[in-house]
Amino acid sequence: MNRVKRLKTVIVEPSPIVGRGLESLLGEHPEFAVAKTYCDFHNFAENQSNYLFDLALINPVFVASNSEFSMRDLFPDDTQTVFVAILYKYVNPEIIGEFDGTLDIYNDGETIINKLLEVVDIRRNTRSRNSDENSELSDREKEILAAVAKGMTNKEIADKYCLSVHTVVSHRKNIAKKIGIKTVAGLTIYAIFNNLISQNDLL
Amino acid sequence: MNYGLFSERMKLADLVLTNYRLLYVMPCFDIGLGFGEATVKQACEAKGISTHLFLLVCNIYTFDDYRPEPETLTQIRLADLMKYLTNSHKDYLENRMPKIITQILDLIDENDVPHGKMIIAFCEKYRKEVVAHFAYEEQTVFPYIESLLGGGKSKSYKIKEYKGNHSDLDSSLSDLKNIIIKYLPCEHLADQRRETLISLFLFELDLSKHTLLEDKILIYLVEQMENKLNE
Repeated sequence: MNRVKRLKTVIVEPSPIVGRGLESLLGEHPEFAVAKTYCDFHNFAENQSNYLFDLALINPVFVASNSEFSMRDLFPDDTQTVFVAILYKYVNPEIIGEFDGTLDIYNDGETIINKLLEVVDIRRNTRSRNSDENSELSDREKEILAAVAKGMTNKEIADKYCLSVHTVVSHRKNIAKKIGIKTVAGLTIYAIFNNLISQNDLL
Repeated sequence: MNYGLFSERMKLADLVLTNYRLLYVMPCFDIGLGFGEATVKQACEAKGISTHLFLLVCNIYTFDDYRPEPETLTQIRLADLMKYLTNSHKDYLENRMPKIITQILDLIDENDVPHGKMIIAFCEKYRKEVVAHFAYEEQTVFPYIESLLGGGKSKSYKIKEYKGNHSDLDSSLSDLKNIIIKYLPCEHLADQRRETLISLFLFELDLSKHTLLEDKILIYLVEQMENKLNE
């Protein structure tokens, strides 16, 4: 996935050494831009621009010792920020559950970076899936699905509907995402079950 | 640093108690149950199998984030790895997949499933895909690796070809799951449908770990060897 801009990151970690370490690790990587590092959770909590961050790395110790409020309360419900817990010892799973992912401080730099990118991707994909919830196939998508099920190639479909092959491919990706079925054989079954084509079309 | 991974001094039973899916891995190493309090090292030595390989496979099957260090991999012998992979192919082809497919056929038989024949055809197509996939590995890739192990070079084949062509078996499997969940009504044998789906989920997970072993470990080791032979 191509990212258009760097991930604006905030680090909230009591140990200045660990905080600086993460800052320098992420600073070397083109995907991240560390905007701010806090050693104190209250300073972070009082900062009004929290919602602007793409990624927040937070030591859950802070959350555990501030049990009177939930970390999420600091952020609007529709926040785009991805929360990652900085772990170096056992933390109550209930607290971890508030985060989108975790990073293990004992891992090497590459592992940490990959883990962070993975968490961000997964989180964004679930968001986009949630926003597509209940979304049905569009009429054009149904037409294309039926054509795929009948065994037509992308080129043939493009010609029939006056589209570019590229557009056909992106329709097919969206179809797969919406109905959870990828292979041609699987799509054929879907098309039959949903009366988009009939058995006779397959002969 | 790898905290929390399985190690050779742990009791074999604790591995299974941590991850019951290892019940599918152990027979491929010819390890059955009833080993009492034996440690991993003791059990592996008694069976004459590589403790390093056994631990590597168990760790990969258990810890999703685990990627072995290069030093760990230098202790893995390709012959052992190929033997394990072949054994697990055999288990997939002879036990797990036929069982799942038979169960699906039963479900279609016992229930009035519209277009049941199409689902049967889909299963059959998937079975052929898996058979062809494993056959390619066992008849082309593994013999090539064996010839490398024997010190021979092959001008016509390189592991890169396998890397590029390693087809994915996940898409069809995931479609099959979707189809059963969404389109297989079942007034009868509801219990069996549940069991079939759970077997499918487990099979899918194990196949993904199996593929990881091939993509990240087998190919890596063979590339190292190709480079060494070319020096």
